[in-house]
Amino acid sequence: MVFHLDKCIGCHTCSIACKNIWTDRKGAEYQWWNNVETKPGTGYPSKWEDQDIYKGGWRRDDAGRIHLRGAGKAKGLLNIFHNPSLPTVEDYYEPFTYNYLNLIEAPAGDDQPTARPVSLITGEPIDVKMGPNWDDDLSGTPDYARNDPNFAALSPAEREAMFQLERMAFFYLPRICNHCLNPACVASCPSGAIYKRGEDGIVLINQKVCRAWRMCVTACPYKKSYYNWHSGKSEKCILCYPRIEAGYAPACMHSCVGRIRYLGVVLYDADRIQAAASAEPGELVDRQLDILMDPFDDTVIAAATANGIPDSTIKAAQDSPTYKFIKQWRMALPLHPEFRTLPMLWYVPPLLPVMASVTQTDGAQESKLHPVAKTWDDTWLYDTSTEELWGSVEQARMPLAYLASLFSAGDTAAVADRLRKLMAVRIYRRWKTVGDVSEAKMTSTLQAAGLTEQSADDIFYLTALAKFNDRFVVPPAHREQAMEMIEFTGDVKGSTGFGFREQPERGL
Amino acid sequence: MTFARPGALRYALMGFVATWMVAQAATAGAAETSTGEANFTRLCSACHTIGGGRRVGPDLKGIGDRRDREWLVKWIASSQTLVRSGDPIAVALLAEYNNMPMPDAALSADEIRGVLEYIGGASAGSAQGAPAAAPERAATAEEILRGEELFRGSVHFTNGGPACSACHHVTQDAVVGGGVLAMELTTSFTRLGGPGVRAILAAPPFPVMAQAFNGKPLTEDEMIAVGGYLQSVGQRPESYNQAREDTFKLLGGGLGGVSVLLGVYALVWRRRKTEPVNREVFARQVRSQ
Ligand code: SF4
Ligand code: SF4
Repeated sequence: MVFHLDKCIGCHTCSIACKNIWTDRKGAEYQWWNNVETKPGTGYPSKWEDQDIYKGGWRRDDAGRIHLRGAGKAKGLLNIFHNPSLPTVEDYYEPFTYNYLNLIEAPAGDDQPTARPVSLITGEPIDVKMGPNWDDDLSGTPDYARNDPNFAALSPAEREAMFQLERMAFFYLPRICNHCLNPACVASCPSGAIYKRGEDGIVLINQKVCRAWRMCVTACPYKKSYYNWHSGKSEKCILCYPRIEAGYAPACMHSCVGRIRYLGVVLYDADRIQAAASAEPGELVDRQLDILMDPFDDTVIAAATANGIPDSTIKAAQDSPTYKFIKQWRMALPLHPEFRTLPMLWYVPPLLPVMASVTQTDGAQESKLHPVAKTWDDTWLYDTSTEELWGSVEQARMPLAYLASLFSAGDTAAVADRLRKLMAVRIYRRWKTVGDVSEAKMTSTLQAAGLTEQSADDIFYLTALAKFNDRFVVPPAHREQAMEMIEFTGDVKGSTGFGFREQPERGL
Repeated sequence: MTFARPGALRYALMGFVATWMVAQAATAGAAETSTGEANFTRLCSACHTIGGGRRVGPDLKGIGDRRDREWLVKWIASSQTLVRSGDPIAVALLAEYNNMPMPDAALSADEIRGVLEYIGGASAGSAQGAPAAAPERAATAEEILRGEELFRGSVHFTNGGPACSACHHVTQDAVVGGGVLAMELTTSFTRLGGPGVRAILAAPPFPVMAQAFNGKPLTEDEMIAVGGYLQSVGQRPESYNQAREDTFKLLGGGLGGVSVLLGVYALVWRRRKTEPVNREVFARQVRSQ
């Protein structure tokens, strides 16, 4: 999966599509398997990125081995009846609805009737304290944006600079379960209820096996496993597997207005997952990229075939838009690779070019103004002039260190590399369509970014023009083959019918 | 065959054992061709003396002069039949001796007469006590404790006799669920006195008990220990299943235990997350009430 953050408009259509299909049930109202956060911000649940609070993900010890931070065998057993690092419901938000009936049924009175908010957990009227995107578009608020855990990576000076720019700079971060290659949720489950499907890599919680220990809620560093207080089971994004099996894109991707979402097959070398997850902090992204295999390489194709991967899946891997963004063009980065779950949702980082800057003045200009002109006491000057068309990557409105904290475990060079490519494609297209950029400038930026005109065209196509079938390349599910690997379907032939493993409720 | 609970099995088994023992005793008695003296020693001397004073039952010296001979034969054969028939002397006797019924002697009328003969002869002679009339001494605290163990069966009798609690119960905390086949012995010592208890232990007059201890007599020390134990049980009525005044100890122990546990929990989970991360923000928010 790839999310192209440059294109997200923060409309939340994805979240609503998901909610309407999967989580508008009792106990699941607070769960947003897909949520869209404003960054900088504390996100949902609040400060989920701060693993000192939530103890999620893997930790690498001095010997280079990785351990779950807050779960695992010994810790899991010790805490099995009392899981100490769980988010409280207020960390998500207390789900609520409004007492709409009062608008119609209130007796006649002096005031307009109101619809008071009512908790969906207790049924009592509540004061709404928080919502899943409470700080939406509010970059710069002291309570939320300024408490973004990623600011830890920034020097006080850089932080100060962001607070001055805060009114202009924010971007959206849509999040779903990353369907990780090294999922902490799977590793943490004492009941063995969570598994990663072999045929498509979707991570699922078996609702019949789940015993409500909630270790996955703690272990998932992205807080994408949720506890349903009504059913007593944990639930998470299922990547709309019934849709995928039928050849459709997941609902959030299907409905995405900004068309930021790409879905495709990526072949990987499962034998090297542990090594990749245990890599040095600076090498995490590169090691993860290493285990993603080139679907055009003959040895890879042979190995995949030998492992029983159908030709149709290999073909889908060759057509995969995600492989292109992630490995071929190296334009995407995983979210918080330092959690070491090897997330398979990659983000093309947002390029927020400088359209203006703020500089400090000595106030000398003000003496030249007419006395009636409005003046400000502060000495900041909002300056919209830039030397170049979009400024340079290093001047981007989001400091590189901030993006690096999100997407590359602090490696600013990796982020700059991706942003440079985004910038180069823009300059290339500007040169091609508007023509106010010199060819020399265009060529040099493409070269600096390691792109050719051909690849720039391809990137442009996949970014801006791609049709449905270009963005989502879902191979046939081959579900029957996966099932036959586990059980002999002939056993049920001639009994209650093919495929009914349980009696249907209406009877047969 | 299944039983609802293990207790039922135990009682049923005891029933079988008892029936068998009675049958055995009866045969043994019929086969016996002993003289009056032997029968007296075996059956009567546990409770009666001839000129030795009262024990469980009356001193029998000169009994032939005091009571009608045929009445005596009937009484010895089955005292309870006589009591039930409303015989005034029989009823008065039973009342005089603490309503402790005299066991029926498994003897023929002739044998009974033989015993009476012997009593008549002996009354003329010197005083007679129980055959096991050994020097009496009080049991030490240690022996009382041993008596309790013997009673409960946690320590076996030397000669292999069955534990008392197989058939008897006493109301004391240490004995849980003693048998219900025979008398409840809590007040036995008070009723029978030391020599009475001792005599019964030395030569059980009750057919089932006699059969159970046939060839497996108690040793001298064991008799003192069990007697001492029964005495202690009778003397300490306050220890009978009474709630001990441990309320404060229990309360203290409970509170102490709870605080230790809570302390351990607090230590194990000292870094637990107890509050929402935005607690301060929420605290500042305006509330409608
Ligand atoms: S993001 Fe998904 S797969 Fe990864 S650890 Fe969390 S719940 Fe598991
Ligand atoms: S639907 Fe697409 S554009 Fe809209 S918020 Fe979700 S990811 Fe962004």
